Amino acid sequence: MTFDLLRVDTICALATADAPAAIAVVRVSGPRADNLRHSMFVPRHGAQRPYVATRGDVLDERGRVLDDCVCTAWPDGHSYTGEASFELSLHGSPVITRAVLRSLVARGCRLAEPGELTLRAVLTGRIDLTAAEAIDDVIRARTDEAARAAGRSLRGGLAKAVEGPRAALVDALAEIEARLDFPDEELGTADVARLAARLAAAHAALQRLLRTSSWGARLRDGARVVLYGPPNAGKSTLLNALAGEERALVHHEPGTTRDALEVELELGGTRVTVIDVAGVRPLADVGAVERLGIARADQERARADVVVALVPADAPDALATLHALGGDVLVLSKVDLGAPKVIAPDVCLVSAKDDVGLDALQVAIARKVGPPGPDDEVTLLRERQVVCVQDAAEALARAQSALDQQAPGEVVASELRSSGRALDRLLGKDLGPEVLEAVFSRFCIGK
Amino acid sequence: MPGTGIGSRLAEVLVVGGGHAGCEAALAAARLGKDTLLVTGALDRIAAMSCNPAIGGVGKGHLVKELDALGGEMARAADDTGIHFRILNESRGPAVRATRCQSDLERYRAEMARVVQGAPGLRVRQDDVVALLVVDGRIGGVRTAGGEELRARRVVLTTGTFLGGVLHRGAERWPGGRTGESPAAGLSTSLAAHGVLLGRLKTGTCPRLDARTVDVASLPEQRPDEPAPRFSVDSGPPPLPQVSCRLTRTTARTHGVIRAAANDGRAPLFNGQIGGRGPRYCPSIEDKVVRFADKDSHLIFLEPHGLDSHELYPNGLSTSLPVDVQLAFLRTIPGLEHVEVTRWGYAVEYDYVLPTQLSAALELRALPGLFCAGQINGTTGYEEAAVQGLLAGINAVRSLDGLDPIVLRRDQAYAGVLVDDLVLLGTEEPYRMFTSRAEHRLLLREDNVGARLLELSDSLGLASATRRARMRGFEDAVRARLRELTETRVEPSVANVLLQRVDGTPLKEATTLLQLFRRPEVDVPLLWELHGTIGDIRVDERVKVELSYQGYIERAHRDLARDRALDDALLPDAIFAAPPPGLSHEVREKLVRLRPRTLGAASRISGVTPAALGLLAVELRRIAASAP
Repeated sequence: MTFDLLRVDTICALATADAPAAIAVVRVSGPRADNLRHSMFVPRHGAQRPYVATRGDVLDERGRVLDDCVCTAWPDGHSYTGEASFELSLHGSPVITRAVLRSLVARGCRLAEPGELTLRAVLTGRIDLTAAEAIDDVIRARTDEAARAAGRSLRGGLAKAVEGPRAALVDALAEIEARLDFPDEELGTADVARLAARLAAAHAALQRLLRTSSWGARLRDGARVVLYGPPNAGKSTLLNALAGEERALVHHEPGTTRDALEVELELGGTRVTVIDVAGVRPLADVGAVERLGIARADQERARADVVVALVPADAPDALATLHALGGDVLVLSKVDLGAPKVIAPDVCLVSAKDDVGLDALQVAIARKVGPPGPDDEVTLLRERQVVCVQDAAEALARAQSALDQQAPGEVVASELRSSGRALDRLLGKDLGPEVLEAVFSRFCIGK
Repeated sequence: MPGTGIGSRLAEVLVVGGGHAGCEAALAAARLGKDTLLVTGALDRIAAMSCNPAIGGVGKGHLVKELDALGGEMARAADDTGIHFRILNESRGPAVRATRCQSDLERYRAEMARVVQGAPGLRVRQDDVVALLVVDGRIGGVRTAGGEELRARRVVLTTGTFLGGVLHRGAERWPGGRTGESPAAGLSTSLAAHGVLLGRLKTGTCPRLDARTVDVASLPEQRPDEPAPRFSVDSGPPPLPQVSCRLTRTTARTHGVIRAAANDGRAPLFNGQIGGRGPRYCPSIEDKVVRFADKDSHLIFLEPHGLDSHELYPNGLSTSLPVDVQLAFLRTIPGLEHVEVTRWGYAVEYDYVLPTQLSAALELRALPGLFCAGQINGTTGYEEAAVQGLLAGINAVRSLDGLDPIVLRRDQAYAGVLVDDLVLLGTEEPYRMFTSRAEHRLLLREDNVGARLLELSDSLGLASATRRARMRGFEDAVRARLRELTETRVEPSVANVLLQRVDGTPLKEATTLLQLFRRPEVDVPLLWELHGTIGDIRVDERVKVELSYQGYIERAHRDLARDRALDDALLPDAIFAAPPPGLSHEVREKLVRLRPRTLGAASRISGVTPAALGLLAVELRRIAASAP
């Protein structure tokens, strides 16, 4: 019998409890382990040798240092799992371990299911069943401890948090499935507007849940705030003013290889990274190099947590241009050159030169960044759970757009189901019979 | 009589029952070269349609096409005797698009009987089977009411609603499998005596109407589709004239009559007379009126029994109310004011074998050699029955030949979903196929049956060489067309005029026809215009589906990859003989009882946790490692 169950991809897992501790260990195992290690771990001195604990930096996929850690690597056939693998001994902060795991996932690694590393160890013949059972016992004890640490109520809270979105999925599926399976019944057309509204609310709820999970990342990296606007809108001046005002400049990195300038500073108790990008204007008017800069600006904008849009107050149709630009915080800059005639309540008036409106702007940005989040909520979602909720949200978004574009019902249903399956993975429930139950309780069906 | 009596072998495969499951099982076994005997209580009722004169529908049409691909008979017989063909769900997407036909009920029966009676290697016998013969824990044949022992190495039970059947109408109740036919008595006792667990289900049928007393002309017409869609790749255009159905609906007065009867305790469904659980999706009219009281009218389809018949089947009016109530409520329905009834509606309660006692081959674990198919397994519907009969017949033959059974995957066929659901989850109400039962619905379409099953069908060799060649020809044509469209480029000067007509974005440079055909606004006729030639409509529609669903299909295949690894891991008997330590009591009990064939099947049993799966996987590896 050929049996290579599960041994197809590279997996990673936190081998220690998901709670603050002196040291946390992330374990990576599978065919791509060596490649992953080369791409994310830089030894402090010389090259890394197998079996030898080596100190160095672990980097995220953008090349930024996540932690100073110790890495040990094992070649294929000689590790705990029997596969090529490595372990990172990190500083034991959930914020760090989560960032490292997220970065592994971004590089194509899969988060291990509980016990999967041990399962692989048995599958590759590294340990026998009794050893596996012993390990399982230890893991179980540790999990319980971790669960106690995190608090049972939090887990209940998670189930409760996805209860609403899940009910919306079942509702929408019942409406759609009934019409697919019973075309000769007089079910009328589904109330698409009502379904769309329910799904939108469900999607928003999942997004909210995901945001609670990103507090950890935000605590570490800071929220990304991008200054976005036409050339000469005063973005660079504003950046310097914000940095100077705060006197909290961590580093000031000129865009040598990329035409964006990043400054980390503290704003209302939260660390933020403010990014100054190339001015944007119609692509037809610009050359190739500037075009690249604009593309980069748009990328930064897409990735940002908060977008600050700027237009100089003296520009023609300044307000209209600003609103067309859109953003989380709207700014008319250079008001020293002439205040606008019409004042819009949602627009900050700023003169970086004369120090006008900077405080109000900081408050507005801080409000959009949101609170840093209480420490205990950071552990609300484990990485595996984050991935589940993310998958659910993405599939739900696809379902919404399919519904919106009047795609065939079977397509909408397919996306809704795939969203439901992701939530099922999170909660360990089965969506199948539940949908049929909903169909039959709601519609008079059959001949 | 030669060939009878203890010790003499009468058949290699013996099929009990001549309904839709029995016919397919017997034909498959005989065509695969086994000496086969079909025993039925009424030879002139072979392949009778006990309920509505229709085949196919959403999920069911899919099953019929799968059956055709694997070598079953129902698809072709339905095509040859159908008098009204339609495509359902034309606009709801290719995966739920389905073929359905009204059959000339008598012609269908006669056609199927002709094929069964004429099949080489297949003998038929009219007799009542009352007991199983069991030798050393294995099936050895059956005993008839006359005391005769019919010996066989494999037996397929397809008793339909006849197993312990009781009919109900009003206060009347009498034993029977179908109106006018006696039930299979004794067989239930025999099954139970061998440790087989039975449950009880209920279903019902409509009164039949005399068309000459219905004001047909006053009712809206439902016409068949032109040209008629087909079930079998073997079929040409329908040989019989095509007719329409009529539509009418219940009124507030209808509901009043029914409600009054129910309140007077005259409905066997509500007064405790019927205990078996009925199907929620095929409820009786009294059920609909009481449970969905806010709905003041229900749609009724008047379906003709056949070209030579004056009977109409009022689809939607299944009932077991007393005859005076049936007539009273019928006459409140528009067009039926003066209707005369030819046969009364009734409900039937019957025994079924809890299907979780079956292996995925549809063989009873408690009695090796005994296969079950159709309503005896808790399903409802001719199509569900037929496809199980086919699989049971094939697997009975394979077990005789020492071959592994055919077990279809859930992503391969609705037939696979059906069997997997039955044997792993069981059912507590009559099980009907819905497309929503298939988690890989977008992969299981009527249009890609060949892609899903041709390879298997070739290895089975049950479908005729001609049928398989037709399927292969179609799949080859689809591939060739994809290649052609990939290689053919169109200039903007040609394309943009045509694209403009459908508000499509104009081309800036030449592109392939394939790229253009991907666009939602480019349909098959437009493709032909772009190409400058007319193609094969069926091929091009299939190509269009593949292109427009490519993203979904690829995502589904990614989801599948992981499931597939689990489904490829077969669980050996040893694992059930000594389940690994660490499993919970509940999981252990379920595994030993249900004996899932693969790790994937185990994962679909409710209550089996990922941790339990992990332990099973570990044990599996250990067993494999310790094997010589």
